[in-house]
Amino acid sequence: MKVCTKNSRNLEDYLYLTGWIFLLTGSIGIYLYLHIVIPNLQGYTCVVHRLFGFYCPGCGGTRAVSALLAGHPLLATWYHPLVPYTVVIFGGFMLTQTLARLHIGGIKGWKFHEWHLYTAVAIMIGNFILKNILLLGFHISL
Amino acid sequence: MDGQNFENENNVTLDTTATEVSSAAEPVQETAQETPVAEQPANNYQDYTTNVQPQAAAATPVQPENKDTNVLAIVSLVLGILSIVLGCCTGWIGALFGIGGIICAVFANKQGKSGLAKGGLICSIIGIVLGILITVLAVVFSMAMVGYGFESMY
Repeated sequence: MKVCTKNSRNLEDYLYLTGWIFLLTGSIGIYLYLHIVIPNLQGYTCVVHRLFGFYCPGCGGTRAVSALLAGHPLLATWYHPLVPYTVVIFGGFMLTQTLARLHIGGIKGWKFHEWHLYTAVAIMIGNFILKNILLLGFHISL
Repeated sequence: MDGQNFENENNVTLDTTATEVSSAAEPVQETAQETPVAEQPANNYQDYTTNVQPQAAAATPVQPENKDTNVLAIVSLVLGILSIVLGCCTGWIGALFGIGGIICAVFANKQGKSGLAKGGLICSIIGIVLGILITVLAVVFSMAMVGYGFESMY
């Protein structure tokens, strides 16, 4: 029998509300970034890549978001695996929590685990190391 | 006295039937004697399970997930990751996320230290340093490269 403590229930509630804040502000930010900032920054490139010749931890993020919005999840994973990972984990959490709160289909909302965030950090560091090894060692660019 | 004989005869007949019944009942008694022996392992099994089940039932509530997880610690690590990613691409925007991550990590540490808050603090500091560095480099780079074209990465 799984024990549902008050703390765990409150944690999921707080994370659900925080998730909606992140979702709304993030959606507005991504929309403004893709439709207003990027078209007005013609020729803008990553300063780290331009100056030092290697990829920064964020290189490929914009292309990953664009590829994901265009319906190419594998391409988005190649560009930056943190983007589809975030969509799966965060989207799954928000979707199942919403369905659970609306009592639709008897679905139980996903619980938060600390490995969700530690995996995200590992993906970010691993992607940074792997892409630079591919670029500097094998001349394989994004 | 006929009655007594009758009773004796009845007794004899009853005795014979009793011996027959007893002789016929011996295997039953043997099986009846064997059954307690055969039931002992079941009793031992029941005793074993009765000894184990309360321990298992007492062990499960000890592991409530998310008991010590703080929401601010989670938010600090999320903002720290975003500050690193955005700090490299956008500079000062990532630094803003890093400042938010540090604030959340400080408040999370006041409520109780956790690994998530420590990771959020480290990532936020890295994001702020990267954001400031990239912003300065971008200003210097853009001033130095006026008149030259930039290769688009997008």
